[in-house]
Amino acid sequence: MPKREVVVVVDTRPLWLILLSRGRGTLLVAVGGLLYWLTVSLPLPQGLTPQGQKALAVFVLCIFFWVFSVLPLMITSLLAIILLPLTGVMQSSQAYALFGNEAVFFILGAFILAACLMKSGLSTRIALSLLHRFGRTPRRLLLTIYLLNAVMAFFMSEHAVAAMNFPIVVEIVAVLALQRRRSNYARALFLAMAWGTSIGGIATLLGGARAPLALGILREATGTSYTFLEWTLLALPLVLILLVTGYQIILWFFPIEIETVRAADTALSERWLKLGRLSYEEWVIGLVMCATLVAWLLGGEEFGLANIALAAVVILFVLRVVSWRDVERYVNWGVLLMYGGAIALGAAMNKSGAAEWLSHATISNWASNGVEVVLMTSLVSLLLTEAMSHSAVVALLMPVAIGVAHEFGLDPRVMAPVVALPAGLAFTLPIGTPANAIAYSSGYLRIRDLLLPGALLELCAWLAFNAMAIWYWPLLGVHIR
Amino acid sequence: MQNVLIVIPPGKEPEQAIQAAIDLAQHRGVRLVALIVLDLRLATRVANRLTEVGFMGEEIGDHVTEVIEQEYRSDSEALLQRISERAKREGVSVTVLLEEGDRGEVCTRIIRAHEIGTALLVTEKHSWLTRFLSRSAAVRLPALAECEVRLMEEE
Repeated sequence: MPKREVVVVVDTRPLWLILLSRGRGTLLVAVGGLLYWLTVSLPLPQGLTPQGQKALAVFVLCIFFWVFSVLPLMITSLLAIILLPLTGVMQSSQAYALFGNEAVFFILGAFILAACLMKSGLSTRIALSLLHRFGRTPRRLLLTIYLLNAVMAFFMSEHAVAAMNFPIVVEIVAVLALQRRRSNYARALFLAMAWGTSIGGIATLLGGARAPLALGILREATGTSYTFLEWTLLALPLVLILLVTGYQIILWFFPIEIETVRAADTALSERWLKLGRLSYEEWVIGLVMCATLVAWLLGGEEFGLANIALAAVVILFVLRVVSWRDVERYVNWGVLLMYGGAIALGAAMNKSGAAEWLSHATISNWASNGVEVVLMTSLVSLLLTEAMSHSAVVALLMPVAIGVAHEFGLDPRVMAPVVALPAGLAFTLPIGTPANAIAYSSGYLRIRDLLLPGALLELCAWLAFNAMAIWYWPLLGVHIR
Repeated sequence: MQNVLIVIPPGKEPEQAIQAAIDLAQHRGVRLVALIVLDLRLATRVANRLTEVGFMGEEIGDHVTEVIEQEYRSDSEALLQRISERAKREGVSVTVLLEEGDRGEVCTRIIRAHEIGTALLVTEKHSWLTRFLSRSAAVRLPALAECEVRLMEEE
C-alpha cells in the first residue's frame, strides 16, 4: 500500500502568541465572567439599587461579549434573557414577553419583504435597468451605483443591498479590465457601493434594524416612539448632505482615470435583456411593496408598523408568489433572538434604575446641557460603530441615553435618533459594517483606501448630524435644549 | 532535478520576480513551477459577517462567497496563463498551479512533489503588527523548505 505523504508545518510563532491565539475564546469568556463578578460583588455604589447592580452586571457582560464577538450576537442575547430572571432582575415571564415587542416583528416583516424582493429578482431588475439607462459615462456610472445603493437601502436592509449589488460591480470592474488595487475607478466603484448603502440605510426604518431597535427600547422605557414618516423626515436632510459629501470625497481621493465604460454598458445591457419580461411574481411583489410603503407612511401610527409588515407578508403567501422555503433561505432567524434580547436588556436597565445611574456616572459628568449631551452621545455612537455591530451600539447606548435625557430634562424621544442615526454611519474599517467588508473583500481596495476618506466623511457626518439636530429638528418639534 | 518555483501572492503581478524566475529556469535548463495559493478565508469571513451581523440568510452569504471566490480564481488563472505563455516564448517548460490553503503548507508540499531546487517567494507588504502577529509564509518557509529560498519584495 503506497504511503501517503504527511506535510507537517511547524508554527514558528512565539509560544505565548500561539497559546493566546488558540485560547482567545476561553480567555474572553473568563474575562467576561470576571467583569460580571466584579460588578456584582463591588460595594453598592450610591444611587444604585441591588437590583440595578445586577442588571448592570448582566449589561456589562453582554456588552463585553458583543464588542469582542465572544459569541454570535444572537447567542449573547439569549444569555441576557437567561441571566435577567436568574439574577432576579426581572421575572422570566417579563423577560420572555419582551421578545414579543412590536419592533422585533417589524424588523422580521421588513426582512421577509426584502427576501421576497431579492428572491423574485425584482431588486436586481431595478438595479440593472437603472445602471443600463444612466451609466453611460464613467462619472455617471459611478454616480448611478452610488445613488442606486443609497435609494435601495431606503427600502430594504443595507446589508442585503450591498450583497445583491456586489456581483454587478464585480462584473463591471472585470469587463473594464481594471487593475486590482491600482485602478482608482475600481476603488471608487466599490467605495460608492459600500458608502451608498450605509448612507441610504439611515434614511428610513427599513435600511437596518438599528432604528427599530432604538424605537423598541424607547417604547419599553417611555411608551413613546416615532412614526415612519417622522423618522424619515428627521433623517433625510442628513442623508442628502452625506450623499453629496461622500460623492465629492470619492472623486477627490480617487480621480477617474478611464475615458469610457462602453464595455460595461454592453455587459449590463446584455444582462438586462436576458432578464426578459416582468414575471407575475415580480409584478405582485412590486405592488405589495409599494402598497406597504404607503401604508407605513400614512397609517403606521393607526395600524402599527409591525402589523402592516406582517400583513404584507401574509398577502404575498396568499397570492402564492413566495414559499416558506425561500423565506427561510433568505432570512436569518437569529434576528428575533438578537433584538428581543437587546430590548429585554434595555428594559431591565431602565426599570432597575441602572441606566440612570450609569448615565449619571458617565455622560452627565462631562456634559452640562442638552447640546453637549447630543454632541457627546453622537460622537460615541459614531466611534463605536466603527468597531462593533450597529445593533450592539444601539443596545449599549440607548438605555444610558434615556437615563441621560431624564437627568437633563430632555424629551427621551430625542435620544433615539441621536444614538441610532450615527450608529449606522461606519465608513472607515472593513469590520465596521458588512457593506464595507464586502467591498474590501473584492481585493480592489486596501485598508488605507477606506481609512482616510472614511475618517473625513465620518467627521463631516458628525458635524452635519449635530447641525441638523440643533437647527433642523426643532422645526419638526424635536428639541434638544 | 533542481526546478525553480515562483510563489505569487493572489491579486499581485510582480513583473521583476516573474522575469527573474524565468531567467533562472532558463539559465539552469530546468522546469519553472508557478504557484498561486488562494486564501479563501476572507470570503468565509465576509459570509459569516453577513450572517451573524447582517442577519442575512445562508443563500445571500453563499452567493457573496461564491462571487468572491470566482473573482479571485479567474484573476489568478489569467495571471498564470500569462506567465505560462511568457515562459514558453522564452523556451522554458512550465507548470502552473492554483492551490488553496495555508501558503506555508502548500509551498512545502509543492517543493517536495516537484523537486524544487530554488523557490522564489514574492513577499507582500504588511504592517509591522501583521508581520509580528502572523509570521507570514515568507518567514516560515525558509525554515521549513528543503531547498534554497529567495525572498523578493513586492514591487
